[in-house]
Amino acid sequence: MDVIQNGAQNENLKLQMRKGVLEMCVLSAINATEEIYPSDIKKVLDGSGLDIVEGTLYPLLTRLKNSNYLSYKWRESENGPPRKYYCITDTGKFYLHHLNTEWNEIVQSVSTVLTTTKQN
Amino acid sequence: MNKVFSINLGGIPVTIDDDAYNVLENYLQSLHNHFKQGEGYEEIIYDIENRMGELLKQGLEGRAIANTQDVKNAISVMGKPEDFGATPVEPNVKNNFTESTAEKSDSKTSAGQAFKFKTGKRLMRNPDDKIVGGVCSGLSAYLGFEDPIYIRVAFLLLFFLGGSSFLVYFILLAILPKAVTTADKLAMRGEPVDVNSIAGEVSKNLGDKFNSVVDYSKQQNIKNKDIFTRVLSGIVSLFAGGIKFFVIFILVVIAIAFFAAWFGISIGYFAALPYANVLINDDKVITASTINVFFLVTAPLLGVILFLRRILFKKSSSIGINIALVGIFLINLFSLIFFVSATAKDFSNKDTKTEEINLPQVNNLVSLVGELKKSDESDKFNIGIHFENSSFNDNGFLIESVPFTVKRSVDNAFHLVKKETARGRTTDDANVNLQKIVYNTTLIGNSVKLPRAFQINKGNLWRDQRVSLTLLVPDGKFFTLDKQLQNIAVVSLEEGDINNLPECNANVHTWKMTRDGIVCVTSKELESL
Repeated sequence: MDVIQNGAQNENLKLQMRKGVLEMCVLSAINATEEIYPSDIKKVLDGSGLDIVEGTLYPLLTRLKNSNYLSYKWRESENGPPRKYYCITDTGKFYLHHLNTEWNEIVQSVSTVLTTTKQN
Repeated sequence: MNKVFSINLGGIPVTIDDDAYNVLENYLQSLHNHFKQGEGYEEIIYDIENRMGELLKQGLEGRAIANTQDVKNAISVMGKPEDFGATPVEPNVKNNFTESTAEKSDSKTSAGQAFKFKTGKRLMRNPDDKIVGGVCSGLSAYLGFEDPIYIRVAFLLLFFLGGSSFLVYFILLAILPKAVTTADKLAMRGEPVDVNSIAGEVSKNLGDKFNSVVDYSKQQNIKNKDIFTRVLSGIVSLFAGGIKFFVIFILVVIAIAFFAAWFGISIGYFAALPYANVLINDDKVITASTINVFFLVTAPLLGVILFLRRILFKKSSSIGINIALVGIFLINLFSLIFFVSATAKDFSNKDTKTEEINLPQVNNLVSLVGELKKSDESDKFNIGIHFENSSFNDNGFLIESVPFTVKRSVDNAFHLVKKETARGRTTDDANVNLQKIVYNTTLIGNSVKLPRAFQINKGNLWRDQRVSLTLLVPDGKFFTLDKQLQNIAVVSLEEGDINNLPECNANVHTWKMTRDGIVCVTSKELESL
């Protein structure tokens, strides 16, 4: 009852959880393609139900790029100036792998806890 | 009817109406506030602006002008800072508000915060209107000039006058960030007039600007991608900080020195005031020049203190006060120069009087005794300094300097000659001043009493009056001097040749003039006298 009523707190928790996995999801989405435009990353995430606004992506992409996990190329667009297309670097691939391992471990642990407590 | 703007959103030209422009501007400002503390600020803002431009273009679908709805649509795709997971300023976790209330108060506080922090313009380089690096046009946008030509002309003039603006330009070029994004350019020009932002804008002053330049250079250390610029701006900000510290140090030292001088001159001046009456006969002139001296020392002291206050506490004094201080200083300087030169004219001509003093009827020996004039300094409370050999008594000003010279007489007779000189505006004035000398010798038995000092009576002015005595002794004759005169007597037998009296037995006070000079008297000769 309390949890449902306190919507703001609920939203905040959701936000924090999503923030934690967003980096991995974005890296994963970029890893799946040769190169990708930020709005297309959003489309990939939208399809999965992780709904975000595009504004969330830009600081994240800049940070990942500055950490050398991503690089970008300028591509001509039909109308307007060239666009930034992002692709993953080797360091980024290694980092993504590391994140995946961590994530799987967490999921494993969490589901173990959840299933044992459910039985009880 | 609605005005239309043509804007550049991250390299994409967009035509937008007035209302939509305001919405867009507020939105970009909120993004600017959200991202400005973080890393990669410029790149993020540029990318977002570019995407916003793209979204607006797409949303138009062939229409020419973007309206508020188009902007709102683009914003909904991009999201507001709150949607990026911006941590609320005051999370209302503890309060059991309903969802809507909590949201409202959140957005309210974040808007309030945003307005608090975004007051004022940012000093940036303007890449859209530049000749070298856009420093001048950025500066004029910051200072509120419509046309950067004024600043450019000022820089050029300063360059040709002193050359320092060249250095200033390159320091600014190194430390000022370039206004790349629209949010930057809005910040550079200042924001639309807003009740909340006016207050901060008005209180801006030069001192703040200096500090903001240093601050910006620090901020830019984080923001600049280019390592060279980062290093350069680091050096410059270090340099600027060092210079600032050095300037403060120097100013504090100057202020202390001025204060000490102020104190010393004030005390010294009041102590020396009695002498002013001997130098200047007009009390008004004395008062006026006292005031002159006071302001001449006080005005620079105040100036240094105000300047220190401006640098240390960032409180600037109004330009009126500064001009007044300089004006007061100059007026008093010229006034004092006038008084001094007027008085100095009183010394331009000289008159001399020579007079022979009667000696008692003597054959072989003349006897002279010095008389010490007592000044009143011992029994009167007398603050102040004493110029060497001068003092005051009830009747006037005593100058305790009467040189005494012994020379060879050419006419086989003793002579005692008194020479008096004085100065004045004209020779006649000098002669009048000469008459003011009071110097009287007295005959006591076989001795002549010679005062050691001469006097200028009260109400008369000191105009470099001097008295000197010369005793002329023929060859083979004797003279006796008392201890006082022995101390000051010099011997000059040939022109330009000055010697002391030869040293004799402590009990002998008599000398003899010979062809070979002055010698001590022998006991045999002394008996015969």
